[in-house]
Amino acid sequence: MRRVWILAATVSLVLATTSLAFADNWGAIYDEPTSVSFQDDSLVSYQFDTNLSSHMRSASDWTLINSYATTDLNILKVGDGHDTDWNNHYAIGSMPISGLIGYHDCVYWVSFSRTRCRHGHVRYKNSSLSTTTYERALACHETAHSVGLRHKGSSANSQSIVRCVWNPVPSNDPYVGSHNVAHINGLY
Amino acid sequence: MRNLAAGRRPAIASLLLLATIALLVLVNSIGVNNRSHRGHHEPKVAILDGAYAFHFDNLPEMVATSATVVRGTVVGTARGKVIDEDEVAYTRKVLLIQVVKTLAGQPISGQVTVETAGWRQVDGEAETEFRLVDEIPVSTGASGIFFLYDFEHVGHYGFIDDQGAFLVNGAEVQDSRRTDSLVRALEARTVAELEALIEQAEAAIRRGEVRAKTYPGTNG
Repeated sequence: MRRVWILAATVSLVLATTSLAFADNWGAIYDEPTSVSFQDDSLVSYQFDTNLSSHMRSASDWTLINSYATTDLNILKVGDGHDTDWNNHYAIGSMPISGLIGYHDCVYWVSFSRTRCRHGHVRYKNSSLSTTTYERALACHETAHSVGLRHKGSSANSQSIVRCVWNPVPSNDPYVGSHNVAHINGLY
Repeated sequence: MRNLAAGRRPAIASLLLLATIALLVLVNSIGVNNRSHRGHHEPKVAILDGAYAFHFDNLPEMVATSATVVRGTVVGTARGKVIDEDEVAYTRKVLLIQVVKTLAGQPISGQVTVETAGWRQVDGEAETEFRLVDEIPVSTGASGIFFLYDFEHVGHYGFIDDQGAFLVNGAEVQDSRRTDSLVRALEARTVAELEALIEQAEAAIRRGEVRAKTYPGTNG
């Protein structure tokens, strides 16, 4: 009988942990397919379009090198262009709706998956923003969606926790933060 | 007999416990499955996570930043601008809104067009509707109070952000279940109360007490 109770306690703990993870800002939780996606593996290759401005080029490099490359993700930059064999493609582009300044969209999913993305777009509307920090924060924010982070969840409902993933993009905080890094390192 | 029943009780309790655990595991796995593998069946709406140019902590600032604030009814929709991003094409939806009253900002008489999220198509496959995470769907017949901004200077407005549309039902502002605190506070009001607050904000703007937010980018 004691064994059964131990088993019950273990299962309950596992179930509780699983539920908590999905109540957080990690992974897609919506009822429909969403642009928040996990990378197909721990290697994140990225490519700039030739139209990417010097400001947003610099901001994107900054966040990938100074934030995401310090996690368990491996970051690989390739030369300019648009090759769908690479994971993240960064460009200046028109927005699907006019009020946006940036978005991420997973274009090609791994076969039979709606959580793992093999090629996605990060698009910025503007060639520059009001400050360098804001540009880096936006790059950090959109890249976050490409690795599985979404705006906020009930257990991560604070700007000081979700940092650059906060909605709206915090113009003064370009960092991904320890909470999100823990999520990233937990998966990749 | 009593001893026999007492002897079976722990076994029955164990079976019940195991059955409960099995049920919990099943329910949980279905939940996780729904959350992570829903792409196996036909998608209804694709949700994009985007970053808006604006976001507001208070109503007066949202009124000040909006080009116009109107109460009206959507009388028609049409396909709008196509955004071609190589493998993906997004087609915006144009809402034709019959304006009942301009509440603040640039006066609008008659009708106004507002571009919003429409359809997404990858590699020429079937189109899917898309929307932004916290955006409320607005379709023909919907009445509401709309905060509009001229982002692209091409004759169509856009909602100022994901806080910029409040649907109404008679005298009540509808509860859209958006989680934003300003939206929550305003959706708790009646239409008359919300219009009075907008009027007060407009007066404060005229007195120079409230200023519009500046667009953060190099265009727009």
